[in-house]
Order: sequence, then C-alpha cells, then structure tokens
Amino acid sequence: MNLIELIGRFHPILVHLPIGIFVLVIVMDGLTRFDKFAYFSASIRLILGIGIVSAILSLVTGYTLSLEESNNQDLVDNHQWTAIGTTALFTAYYFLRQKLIAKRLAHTYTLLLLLVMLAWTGHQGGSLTHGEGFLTEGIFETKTATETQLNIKDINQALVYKDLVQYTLNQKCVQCHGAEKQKGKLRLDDLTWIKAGGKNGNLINTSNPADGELIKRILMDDIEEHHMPPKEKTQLTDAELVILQWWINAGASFDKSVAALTPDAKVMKALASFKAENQNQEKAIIKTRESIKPLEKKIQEKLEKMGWVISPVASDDNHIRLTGYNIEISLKDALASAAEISEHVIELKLSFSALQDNDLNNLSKLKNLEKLWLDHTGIADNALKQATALNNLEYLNIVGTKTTASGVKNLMNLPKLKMIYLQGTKITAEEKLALESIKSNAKLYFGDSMKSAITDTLFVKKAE
Amino acid sequence: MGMMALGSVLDSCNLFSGNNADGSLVSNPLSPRSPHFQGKAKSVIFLHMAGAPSQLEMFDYKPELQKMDGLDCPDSFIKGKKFAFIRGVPKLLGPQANFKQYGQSGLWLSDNLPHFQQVIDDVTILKAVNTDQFNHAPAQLLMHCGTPRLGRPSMGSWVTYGLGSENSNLPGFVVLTSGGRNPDAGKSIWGSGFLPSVYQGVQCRSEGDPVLFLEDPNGFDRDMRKASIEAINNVNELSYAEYKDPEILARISQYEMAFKMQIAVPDVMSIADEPAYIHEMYGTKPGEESFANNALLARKLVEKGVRFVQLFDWGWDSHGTGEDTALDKGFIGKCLQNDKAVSALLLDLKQRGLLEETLVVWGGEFGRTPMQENRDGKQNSFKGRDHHSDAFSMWMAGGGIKGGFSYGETDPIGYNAIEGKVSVYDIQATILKQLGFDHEQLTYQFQGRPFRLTDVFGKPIDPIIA
Repeated sequence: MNLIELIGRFHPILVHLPIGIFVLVIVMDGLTRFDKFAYFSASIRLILGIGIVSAILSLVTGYTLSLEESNNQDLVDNHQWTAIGTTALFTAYYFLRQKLIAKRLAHTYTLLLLLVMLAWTGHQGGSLTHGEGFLTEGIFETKTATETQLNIKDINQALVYKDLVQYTLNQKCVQCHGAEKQKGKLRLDDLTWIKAGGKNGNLINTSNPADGELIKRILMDDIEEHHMPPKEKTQLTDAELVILQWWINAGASFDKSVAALTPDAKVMKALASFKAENQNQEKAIIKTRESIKPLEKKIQEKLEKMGWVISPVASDDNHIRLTGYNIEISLKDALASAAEISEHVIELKLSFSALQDNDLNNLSKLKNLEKLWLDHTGIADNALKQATALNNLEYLNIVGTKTTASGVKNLMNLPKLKMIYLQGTKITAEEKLALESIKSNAKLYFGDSMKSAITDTLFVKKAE
Repeated sequence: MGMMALGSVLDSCNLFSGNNADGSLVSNPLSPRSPHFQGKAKSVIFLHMAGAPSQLEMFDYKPELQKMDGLDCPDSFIKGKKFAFIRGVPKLLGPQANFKQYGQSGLWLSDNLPHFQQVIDDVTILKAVNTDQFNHAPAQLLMHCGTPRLGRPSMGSWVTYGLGSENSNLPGFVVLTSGGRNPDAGKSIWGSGFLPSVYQGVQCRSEGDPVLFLEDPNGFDRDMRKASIEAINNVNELSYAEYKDPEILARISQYEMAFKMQIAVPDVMSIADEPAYIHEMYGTKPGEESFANNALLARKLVEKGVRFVQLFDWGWDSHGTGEDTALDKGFIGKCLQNDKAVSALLLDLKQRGLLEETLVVWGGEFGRTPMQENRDGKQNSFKGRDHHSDAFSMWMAGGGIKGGFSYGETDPIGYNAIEGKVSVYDIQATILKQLGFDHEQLTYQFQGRPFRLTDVFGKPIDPIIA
C-alpha cells in the first residue's frame, strides 16, 4: 500500500465528522426559531464553517479511495457526485443563510433539503461499506433459500427450470440479483421474481429469445458495460448458455422435465457436459498452495550470482521455479544454497547440466517440490533415492539418464506423483512391463516411436 | 487484483532504473518476471505456414463440397465480397484429398498428412478461425502483432517482455525461416515495435553458421574478447549517463549476450550431433535449409530454456497458377514435408516431457476459398484456391490445451464459420492465458496510453483449455 492509498483509507473514519457537524447545524438552526435558543444563531456560522472544511477533507480522501478498484463502480460514482452536491449545498447555505432566515418557510425547506441530501449521501456510503440492502436486510425478504448443489440422478427426468436453469442462475447471477442485492431491481432467485422481471422489463421473451433482457445481456460482447455477468465475474459456461436458450425457446416453462422439452443433439451435448464444465470452473478457482512471504532480496541476489535463474510463479504467489542452465559454481554448492530456500522452491530444473548423483545430497530437503527435471544429466539411481522424500512431487523428468527400473520403482508410491518421463533411461523392455504393472497414480511415459507412413514416397513422386 | 497484477508487471519491467546490486548499470532485461497467474505453458513454438495453407485439403472435411464440385458458386457467397484474385462467378472446387477419421478422438485428417494421425490425440483443431485481412502481409502482421499495420511489437516480443528468459546465454525469442523466402510482412512480424529492442526476435540463419562471426579471429582469445567488450560497454555506459537513451542500454546488454552466445549457440544450433533415429523421425539433413531442420532446432532451443520460437515456412500460397502451387501437385509435397517434421516435433517434445509446458501453435495467416481461383475471371490452369478470411483451420497442442479435440464448425462448403468462431485476437489471448497472462493487463505505456497485443479485442478460447 502506498501513501495515497493510506490517505484514502481514512475516508470511512473522516466522513463521520461532517455528518455529525452538519446534523448539529441543522438541529441548532431549527431550534433558533424558539426564543429560548435564539442565541445559537451566533455560533452556527463557525460550526457550519468547520463542517464544510471537514466535508472537503472527506471529499479528498473519498476521491483517493475511489481510485482503488471497487466491485460496484456505479455506486461509487453516484456517491461521489451526491457528496460533492451536498457539500456544495452546505457551502451555498453558509453564504445565503442571512438572507434565508428572514423567509421562514424557505428556511425550513432548505434545512429539510440539506438533511435529506446528507442522509442520502450517508446511505450510499453505508451501502458501499456494508453492501447494498444491508439496512433493510431481514425486513423485506420473502424467500432466501438458494439451491447451489447440482444433484441430478437421471437427466431425462430432471426439471429444466428447477434443476438446470435455476441452478445456473444461482451460480452466476443471484449474488447480485437475489435476496441480498437486487441490482436493477432484479431478482433471479425464484420463479416469482423471474416472472416479475427487473426495472428494464422484458426479461424473458419466448417469441424472440434474443430480445429478452436476460439472453441479450449474456450474449452482449463483454466490453459492453451492460454485459452480464460483469466481465470480472465468473461467466456462464457454453453448456449453461445452450440450456438457458433452449429453455426460453421452448417457452420458458417452470415445470417441464428435460424429456418433455425434447432436447436436440446440441442440447444433449450440453446436458452431457453441463456438470463437468461447472466442476472445471470451480476447480480453476480453488488455490491449494499456502501463501508465503516473498524471497528475501539478499538471498535472491546470492542465488542469482551463482547462476540460478529465479522465476516467480505468479504475481500473487511467492513460490518460485529455479532453473540451472547458467550455474557457474559447483552444482553441489548451488543445490545446498537452493535447499536453504526450500519453502519457496516448487519447481527445479537441472536439465542438461553436469549433475552427478552425489551433487543431490540436499534434494530431499526441497519438500515443496512439485516438478523436477533431472533429464540429460549424469545421475543414476542414487539420485532417485533422494527423491523418495519429495511427497509433493507431481512431475519427474529423468529422460536420457542412467537410471534403472529399481530406482524408479521406489518412486512409484509417491502420493502426488502423476507423471514420470523415462525415455532413454536404462530400463529394459521387460522391466518396463513390470513397472507398468505396479499399481500407482503415476503414469510412466517411455516415448513413442514414429511409425513410417506407407504413402510417403508415392505422394512425393506425384508432387514432383 | 487486476491493477495489482498490472502494477507488478510494470514495476518489474522498469528495467532501466538505477544501479544494480553488482554495481553494473543495467539489470538483465531478460531476467524472469512474474506472470499474472501461474501459466501452464512456459514456452511457445509458433509454426507459421506463410502463404496460407488450404484447410480444405488438410483438416476441414467437406463431403458436400465434393458433390458441388464444378458448379457455379452461389451468388449469396460472393455478392458484395472482395477477393484477392477471384473475379466474376468462380466454380466450387471439391476437396483435392481423401479424408479419414483417426485416433481415439476420431478427428478427420486428409491423406496429405499421413503421419499426423499419430499425434492427433494431443492436438486441438480450431476449424473456424476468422481474420479480417485477405492479403499476406497485413494478415501476417495481424496474426503476430495484433494489427494489420506496421509498428507494434510481435507476440514473441510481448511474451519475452512479460516473462523474461530462463537461460541468459541464449536469446529469449528466436526466429527461423524456411522455404527460401522470408514471409511477405518482412521482419516486422518479429520486431519489438515500441518495446525495448532487446525483446525483438533474433533471426538465426537456416543454412551454414546459424549466427555469423561466432568464432573469435585467430590470435584473439576469450579473455581479450571479454576485456574489449567490457571496454566498449564502459564507454556506452558513459554515453548513457550523458544522453539517457534507453537504446544504449539495449546495446550494452546485447554485447553481453553476444559474448555469452559465442559459447552457447554453436552447441544448441547444431543438429549434426543428434542421434540417427531423431534425423530419421524428423526427416532432417544437417546443413540444408529445411522446415524439418528448423522444427528440430525449435525443440533444441525450447529444451534449453528459450521462451518463444517462431518458425516461418514459405510456399503455401496454393493459387494453382503453376504446378508448384497446385493443390494436387506441389501442395501435396509441401504437406508431406511439413507433416513428418511437425508430427516428429510433437512426438519428440512429448517423449522428452516438454509438451506439457510447451505450447505449439500451427497455422497460416488466413485460409483458402471453397472456390477454384479464376484469376481475372479466367479459370486457373491448375487446381488452386484464392485467399479466404472468413474461416480457416489452425491447431494448438501442449501447454495445457486439450488433446484430440475439435472446436468450431464451418458451413457445408467450408465458407463461413457457423459455430465456435474465433478471431486472431482470441488465438493471441489464449496463448497469453496459457503463459499466465490476462491479455488485457499485459500492457506497455507508449505515446501517452497503454498498448496491448490484442488491441481492444480478444477473449481466451476457454473450451479448448484442458
């Protein structure tokens, strides 16, 4: 976080100052009507002045805060303009108060207007911090239960709306168009609301599906402001869209089964991949690695001086991939230094290096390793012994090494290992079969030779 | 989150600020940088068939077109359309090859690709790629630089700028050409545009020494070379201190790179030491200029940590104006050369455990018409097709792309995309996504605004991602 962001973060605290002061001004100003409190009049200008200064400070911090990304940019913009308007009104009042006080009725309306503006601005700010609908939560609600479990036993008997369409809406839409928030006055969490539509009406058009707001906005290019779901949110899968369009084309009935709507081949394909596509989407979101601190700059420089190339995994993941093409010191020492940052290293690439078995004494310390390349090096089975401690290993490449079947055998029960590349090792054809018969999660890949194509020469002749 | 990601790329790419820990002025501009998220691919081999191969004789099987062979093209297809050479009403031309289904996936391939069936279950074929350019140079520029006009950085430059390189002894972005000519768009399609020039593609010679003057002259040893380069760089650093021109820094790091390349390049760029079975597999002959040699070099470069390898193979412009560009003659020879090398490349990458992290992309700059070309209204003497931008085929393999998968469909004669239509920008966005980038966030500030490879378009093709 930089200084500018820090200033912005003060906004939620600072705003309470003008709110409190302005409310005080309105109350005191109202009370001056009564003789008993007439003497308040002398203080109001000062208090109002202080209020305006604090309001301007709030505007500045608020603007700074608005530079950060928000998931509700529209509301941020609205809040900004009402806040500017409110401050402007109070400032105008500061200069015009003397004249207004003479006209009793105008003065009263002005005070009421100021109060309404103040409350409105405050409410928008509150909606931003607590979420829209926070205030009225639990008062206007009728039904909140949303089904998010996909539970279909027989696809033909499944109800198109209830089991598929509503499921999709719950996954992709209800977060903003449901019980908690009703953006565009639209709720999609239950059929009564879906039938009612939102403020733009015409949600579903069965005679011209592309004209209904729901389909129109989903199909809209995502650079358009009105595209739904918003670009940064999870989008509908292809299968979900096909099914949604099919349901609307078939009349958007709320009680028909899949079989009753006679799916064509395209829809059948979508139905078959519906579940898998959803799961893929979910899988992509789940992050499994623990978060760690970034590598210390000093240590990074030390490793780089040895010739290690350090690749950060991702901008929000401080784990690293170490590559050793350019190592200029002994590999044994280089690996000893790598072992010191074992927490960070998840990928280690030593392909085509002069690596020997005894350089790898520290390998077992690199507990977080997920991928390991030892291909085209001088290693043999002793190196693989070190690797048996790598319980997070998923990928191992020992192509073109002197490793044998007995070395590989020890690795095959590593819990997470998925793939071992073994082309050009010392494993014989017989041993290969024996290895492949061992029960293991790991897939062994020995390489495929190119089969010659019979038509080869014939065609070249023809071509010449 | 997006802003944070962008910030981190920009921060780390602020290459030319201040002094480094080791006292040198320049930090290595090719040192690795963090992608936005963890990418499945670490390197890319882009195989560009310059001239645009015919999808209708390779991947897009159209039996209906066979039935309509020789008929006039329906008016609805040509009305208001512009073609490079077709004038008046052309005749439809049926597929000039036999097709069969192959692999567990049962994808269709023509007889022109007899080896490709062995790798088909590792490949996603995109059958409805669309471009808006129908001339070679602008279409090639669009494919590689994201605009049909000159001046923007190429995809390989963007990728090396974004990710850096894992081997400081080799360039991050290498270009190899075959077919006897450079592509029509010239060297701009591997240029760095407004990115620092260290990110431009390094074109290696396909015949003879890959890079000229790698050997030190007689009587001039390595120490003396080192001392002279240090002296030159000291002078350059002085001029940088005076003029602050970033191109001077690019030059300094290029001198350093050249010094390191003297050792690393002869080894990695020589295919002569490869075992016989590899030469047999690719169909390579050391010493000659060929696509097969370049395919093998691509594998050698990627396994040594080169980030982006770009191959251009010229000679796919099958108009049918002569025997060499006839679909039933020269084109078949071209397919067969390509088929063997490409299939070998995929098999070889896979057996070395490299395919998981290497994204291989194959395609031309556009496709070819379902109609036989009638240059100036007169039927060409050989069977050929004109340039076609509405729908053509490309394929991708490895680097987290689905295998044995086909995406997109064309109409029964292969003219228009009817399902799964993707643009050139979508291809670019997908490549960047596989490398760990949000294509909208990989930007560079130039002339007062941020630029990106995909301009304001593109969406990753998620259905083809495994």
